[in-house]
Amino acid sequence: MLEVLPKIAQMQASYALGKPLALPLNLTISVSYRCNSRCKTCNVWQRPNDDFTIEEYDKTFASIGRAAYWFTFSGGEPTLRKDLPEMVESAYRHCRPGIINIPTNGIQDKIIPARIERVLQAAPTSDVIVNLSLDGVGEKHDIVRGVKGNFVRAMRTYAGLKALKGRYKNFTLGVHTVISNFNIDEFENIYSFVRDELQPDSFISEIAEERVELDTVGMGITPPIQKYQPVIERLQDGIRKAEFNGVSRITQAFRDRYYDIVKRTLVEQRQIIPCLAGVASAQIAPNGDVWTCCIRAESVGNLREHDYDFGSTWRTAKADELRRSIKAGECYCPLANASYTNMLCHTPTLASVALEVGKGTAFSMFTANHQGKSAKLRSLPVINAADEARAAQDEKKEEIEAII
Amino acid sequence: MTECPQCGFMNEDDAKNCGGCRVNLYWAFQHYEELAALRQANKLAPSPASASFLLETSKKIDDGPTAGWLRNTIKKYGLKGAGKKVSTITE
Repeated sequence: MLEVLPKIAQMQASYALGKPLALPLNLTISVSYRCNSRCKTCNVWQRPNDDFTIEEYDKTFASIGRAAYWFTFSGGEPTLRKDLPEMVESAYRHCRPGIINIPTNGIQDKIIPARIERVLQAAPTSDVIVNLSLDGVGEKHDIVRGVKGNFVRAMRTYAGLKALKGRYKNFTLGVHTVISNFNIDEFENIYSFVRDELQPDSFISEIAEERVELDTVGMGITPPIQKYQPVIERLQDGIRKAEFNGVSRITQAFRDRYYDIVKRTLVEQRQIIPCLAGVASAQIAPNGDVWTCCIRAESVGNLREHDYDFGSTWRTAKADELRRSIKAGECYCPLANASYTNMLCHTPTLASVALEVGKGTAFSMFTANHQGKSAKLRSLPVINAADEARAAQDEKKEEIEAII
Repeated sequence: MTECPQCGFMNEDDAKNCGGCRVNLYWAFQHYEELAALRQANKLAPSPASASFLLETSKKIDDGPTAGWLRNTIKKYGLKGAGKKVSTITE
């Protein structure tokens, strides 16, 4: 992760100058708009399909080289592409990303675990994070996602993915929930289910927002801050009460700050910290259009028209104009993907995370000798809070029994 | 002509997004009523106040290279043709 630090300085300088001195460190590759979900919060499946071939991706990744650290293969439903493992293999060979993130709806339960296993084999030194979408529990999930039987299939997929955990140390299995007006009243139920039943490595919740990419502009799916605030505070409370080790401690500290940014963005309707979309982060649409972000989804150029040279597409006049517009604050959003890069490139946020992580590490070292059985569980994030409480109770019981 | 269930704007029958509020019309006919009821229950205005930069960007899609294809597809097949292979590069 430390290899990102020199790139941050390049990103900050690029932002200040309004010209890219380097290629983005965070890339989202939308591999297809095809999707077998019919979510109430998304219309991406209606978009025409003109997907890049594996050869086109290979040329593109070759042009990017070792610039990008964080890759997200999204969609549509990315696992619908049979050649997803080959795409990841190509990205790994040319770019060697530190993190590869893949969301999935989990519908193809007989196919997804095997396909993800091939992804894990294709990128052995990258941290591969697969996030299963969960927008409700049981039938409620099916209703929001528009597919009968989706929940049962998603649970089968989850079990299949969980089985990979023992074999692949580079695999993180997460759950991702989009909170909209359609399911906000169900959040507590979803949260308890994830924490007590699924117990994933990580849990992230994102607010449903209007995006040009998803054709959700004008839909009004975003819940009001009065209702979303308690949800965020519940998530933050979970983060703050749990104890983490190593990289988890850093990611959770960023996550806590991300939720603060979301709250303020919704209230103040402006960029809370500078947005480096178009500098530090970018998205490639399935047809090769390069975007600064999926919220605006405005093409700065098409890779097919630039001989698959990302750098050439990234340095167009249109790209400069979009960078100017973003820097001028002509847009704002709580998009998680871009927000994490923004926080990484925002010195005050980075400093406060470093301070918190440093304090936490020192405290853990100091209290290491006083930890009991529950300490074993602490390498897992948020959702083990209940287990920790139970373990702590058991410990106390044992202590009392010993005294008696 | 088709009336937008959200804002009442009169749209061409083959329009993908409402010319008034930009809402995706297929979605609006499926889900607007339910969402409007939920918004009302949450003490929100029935129609959202979408950010102006989003409305402007969304409008640009109507002039994009696939706009004609999509209109024709919706006109001919509803949305059964969604996801079909089509070139998005302008000649």
